[in-house]
Amino acid sequence: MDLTLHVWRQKNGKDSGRLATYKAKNVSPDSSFLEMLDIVNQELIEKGEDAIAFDHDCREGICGSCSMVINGKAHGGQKGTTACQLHMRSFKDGDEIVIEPWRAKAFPVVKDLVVDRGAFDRIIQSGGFVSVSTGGVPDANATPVAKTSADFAMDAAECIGCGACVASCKNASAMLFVGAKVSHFANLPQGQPERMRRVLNMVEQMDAEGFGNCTNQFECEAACPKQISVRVIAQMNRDYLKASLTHEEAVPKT
Amino acid sequence: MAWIVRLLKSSLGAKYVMAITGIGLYLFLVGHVAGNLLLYFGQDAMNAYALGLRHLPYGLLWIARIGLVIFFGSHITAATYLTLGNQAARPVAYQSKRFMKASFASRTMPMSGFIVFLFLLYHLAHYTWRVVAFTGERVDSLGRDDVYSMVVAGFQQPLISGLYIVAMLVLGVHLHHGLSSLFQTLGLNNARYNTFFRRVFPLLGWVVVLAAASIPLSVMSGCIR
Ligand code: HEM
Ligand code: FES
Repeated sequence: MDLTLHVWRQKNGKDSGRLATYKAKNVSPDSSFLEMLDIVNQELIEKGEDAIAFDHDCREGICGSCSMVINGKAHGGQKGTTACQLHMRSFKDGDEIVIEPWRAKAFPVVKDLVVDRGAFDRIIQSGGFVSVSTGGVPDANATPVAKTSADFAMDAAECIGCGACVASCKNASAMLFVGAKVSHFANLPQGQPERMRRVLNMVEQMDAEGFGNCTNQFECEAACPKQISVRVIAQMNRDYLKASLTHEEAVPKT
Repeated sequence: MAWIVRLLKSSLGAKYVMAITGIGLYLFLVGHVAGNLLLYFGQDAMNAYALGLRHLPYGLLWIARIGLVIFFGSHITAATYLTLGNQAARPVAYQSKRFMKASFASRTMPMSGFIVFLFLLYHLAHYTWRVVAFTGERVDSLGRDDVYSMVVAGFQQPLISGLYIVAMLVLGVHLHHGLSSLFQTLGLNNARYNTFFRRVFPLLGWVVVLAAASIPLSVMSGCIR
């Protein structure tokens, strides 16, 4: 099939960028979206032009690198999939496809479709450590965890940090990501000692990075390739409230 | 005190303020509309109620008024703070954005809130300060301020009635999202109750705004005169 692509091209952070139009000819419906871009890039390289820069790594939906907004939807909007898991059979011959980078102040464009997601790393860092006893491997049943808590923690832990939540949110809010990281540990016994400190620091870092504020539109939940529920945001909201009202470290040092 | 400042300056702190003041404003709205439904019970009931409000003991009327100013003020301040932050968080807009789940009501909260705020000013100028579209002092046969006739005369003007009805519909849209959203903001999200939070509570806003909108409709159709 033949497609017309409108791809965001931007040389670097200072360039203002623009949509450029490319033809993708003879695309196999069996190829993945990123393979289609590879083919277009190969042609660009052969013509001596600059290839379209996009992030990718695992190409199987586990690393979270492949950030792009396809026709107005993060990762193309197919339920529970990343851009690398999207296949060209989801498109029709003659389709026009607009491809843009994640748009957020906290995710500055590096080049074309590549954005700097360092803000997520700094939020994770601000969460600090969890206290785990070292020594011999403990017996598997030594620390009881209720099945429901373990399930919730594991669902939250599915987050691959791709940033689709931020990209899809009208407010460029990172609360699904931060909520997932908070809920991941808040529901396991190992996460308890630092639970209050963690939520305080992570929310503070999230605000400092310049993300927007959640207005409970739940667009993130629909866009998340791991289908993480906004339940994790409610958990963060609860924990932050409790920490702010009761935890000693919520009182700024003078 | 520093911890309160830290809390209020955070994104989540400002959101808690939105939710708590939102509940307060909704409860006020319920009381205010319920009181005004006394129009359906005639001139005497309405005027007695209005007089009663003005003669509440212990300065309760002023306490309520100051409370309302604080609630509206905090709600609007937090809304402005959060909305400006949201706009700053995406300096370059998408050229092709399409929403998958976000409802119309949720995406237009700042706009519907702003329209409600403009309406609020008009409403106060109309019936509280009585400086716009005022048709003169009236007293009833018992010498009481004739609120009943003032409201009826006000709503006999189609333009004014229309404005009130549109404003109530906009408030309905605002509450459609707000009355559901506030639970998530306060951390309440539980499969057991989500049907209530997401399907039932938005209707509670519509019940109240439609009851309020029924008053100008009833005046215009001659049910109340
Ligand atoms: C009778 C008047 C009003 C009532 C009953 C009301 C009620 C509410 C409620 C219950 C919420 C939900 C809070 C949450 O999501 O946690 C809300 C949110 C909001 N309100 Fe109001 N409100 C009123 C007037 C206003 C006014 C005058 C403005 C602005 C000038 C405004 C702007 C907003 C904004 C921007 C939000 C946040 C929306 C979001 O989270 O998506 N509201 N309101
Ligand atoms: S490339 Fe790893 S998730 Fe898409």
